[in-house]
Amino acid sequence: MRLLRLVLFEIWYRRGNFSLGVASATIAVAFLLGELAILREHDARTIRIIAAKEADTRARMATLEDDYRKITKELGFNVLILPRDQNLNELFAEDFASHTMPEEYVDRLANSRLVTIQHLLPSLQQKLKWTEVERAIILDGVRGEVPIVNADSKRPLLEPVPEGTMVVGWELHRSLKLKVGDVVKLLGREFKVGKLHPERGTKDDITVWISLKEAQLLLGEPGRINGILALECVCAADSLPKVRTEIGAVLPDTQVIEFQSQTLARAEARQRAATEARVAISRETENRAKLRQAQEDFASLAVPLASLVSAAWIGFLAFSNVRERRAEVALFRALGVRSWQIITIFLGRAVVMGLAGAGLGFGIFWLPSGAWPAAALHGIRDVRLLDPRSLLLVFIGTPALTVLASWLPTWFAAQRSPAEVLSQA
Amino acid sequence: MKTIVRVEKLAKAFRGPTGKVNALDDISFTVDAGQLTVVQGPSGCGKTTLLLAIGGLLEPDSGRVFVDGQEMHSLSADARARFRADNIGFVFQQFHLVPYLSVRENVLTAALGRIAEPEPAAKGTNELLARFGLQERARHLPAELSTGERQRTALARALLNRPKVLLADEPTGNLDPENAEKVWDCLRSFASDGGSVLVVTHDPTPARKCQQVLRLDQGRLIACA
Repeated sequence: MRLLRLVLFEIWYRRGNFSLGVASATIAVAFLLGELAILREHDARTIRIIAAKEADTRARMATLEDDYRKITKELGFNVLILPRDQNLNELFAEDFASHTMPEEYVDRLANSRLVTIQHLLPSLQQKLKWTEVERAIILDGVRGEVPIVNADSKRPLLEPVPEGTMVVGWELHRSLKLKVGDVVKLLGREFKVGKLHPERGTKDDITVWISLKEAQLLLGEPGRINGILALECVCAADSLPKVRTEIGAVLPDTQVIEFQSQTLARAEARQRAATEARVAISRETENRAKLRQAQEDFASLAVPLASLVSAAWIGFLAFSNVRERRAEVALFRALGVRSWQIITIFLGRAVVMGLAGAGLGFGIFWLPSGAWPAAALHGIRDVRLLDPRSLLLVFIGTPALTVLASWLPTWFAAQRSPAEVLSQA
Repeated sequence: MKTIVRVEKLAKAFRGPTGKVNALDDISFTVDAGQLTVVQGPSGCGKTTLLLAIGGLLEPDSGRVFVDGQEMHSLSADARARFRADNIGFVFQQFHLVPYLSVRENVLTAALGRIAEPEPAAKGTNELLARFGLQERARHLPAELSTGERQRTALARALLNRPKVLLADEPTGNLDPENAEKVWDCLRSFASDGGSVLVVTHDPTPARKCQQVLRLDQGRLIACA
């Protein structure tokens, strides 16, 4: 007579008690697997949603790009023409070009019949100290817009500054309390304040504009300029190389850079759209993570609670089983069966109960899922449950739970004096 | 004749609703090999307590019990169980058969404590079933047996491990005269084969056919003949 045989025979004999225990373990397992399935389904759905959003964003970005290309096809953009040997790093650091080129370049360009350029603004800029008022300023000598031969007559973008006058930036006139009509000295030469600029929040606020000729004289650069601003070049948004090639053909000693143009704005718009999309995806991911955390919190409370209730019920059934088998246990003791064997008989029963509960709980979730209506499953059907971790958790955890629940009644059974029962009988 | 059971100044008291009750009070006697001893006395005189104490199932307050030279209560619980499995057979008035096991498996439960190889236990079971006329009932559950068959099953179980001592508590208490006689025949046969038998009974008839009679009253041994 093997102990396992004894255990199995007893289980069959008292199948009512055993079935109730198995049902309880099954419910606990189903609860655990249900929670796991919900969490995994949530993860799978999150991946699907994020992937869909990313795909949607990519598609929308592509559409947006195409739309921008179409919309901005006829819009111009700005370029700055500089001497070829001008170091761009220095230009951006100092706010002006230190190298110069002949003023004649602008005329050559104006007469070259380039159809891509709408407006030409030559200038000679330099950052210097306005010694009379002890201020660092940018002096900008401008000639106004140079008319382009054969171009449509358009209203000039920039009027020239009359000789003997100056236009003063906001920070300068504000701090120096200058008014239109004031006469001020700049580098030893008298100028009448002709115009005051409103606040722009750029380097223009510390700029003084005078005529190009006077600037060339003051700076000792007669007939020289250090930049030509070509505004509203008409071409496709992505055709800067074409503009460069055309200008380079006319002015080989120059270089062309894109300058605060709408192309930049478009790129920025695209960047902003991409950033917005990324933020939206990130927000969605965050929301899904919060939702998952909430589900995890619920599971972390509900699963132990279900396990505890199940364990209490199994413990009660085990106690009832032990009580019913008092005479049997006493007999086994009289026959010389040792304590560990009695413990094995009762805990073996608990292990079989746990394994049966685990199998049934797993079966409830796994096997008949094909027969369940899809709507009732909410996608759980697609979630892989048959992974080694779940199997391990369920088929080790459930017998462990039933053994733990049966431990105390079993211990009582093993410790109880057989004489008490045998003498009563 | 070798002494198999020796009881020395055995005492056991219980706390009852009316105070302390002496179940066994300074009991001493011996049972030799081949001797059938009958313990008699009124209900509650301590007969069953004496049997359980000899079998090592009840710890006495004082005194000693030797079975085949081994002092029972000096052993640990598990060692005592092992000793009991090898040397002592029990028969109860209520049979105490395991309800979910067949007759054959009930007899085999005696081998649980011995960790014996299944083959000799199975062979011994077949022999005992044949001896007690239970071959036809071997696959039946206890609930499907007559009371006589149940007690014969219990006897077969008690004898499976070839014990040196058989302790029987009212073994014929629930049996008709015919079945009771069969049980007594079996017990006498066991004694005549060299075993020691200690039987608690109210039945005065078998006392005439045994080697020793112990009379207990209120936990005291009042006669030993």
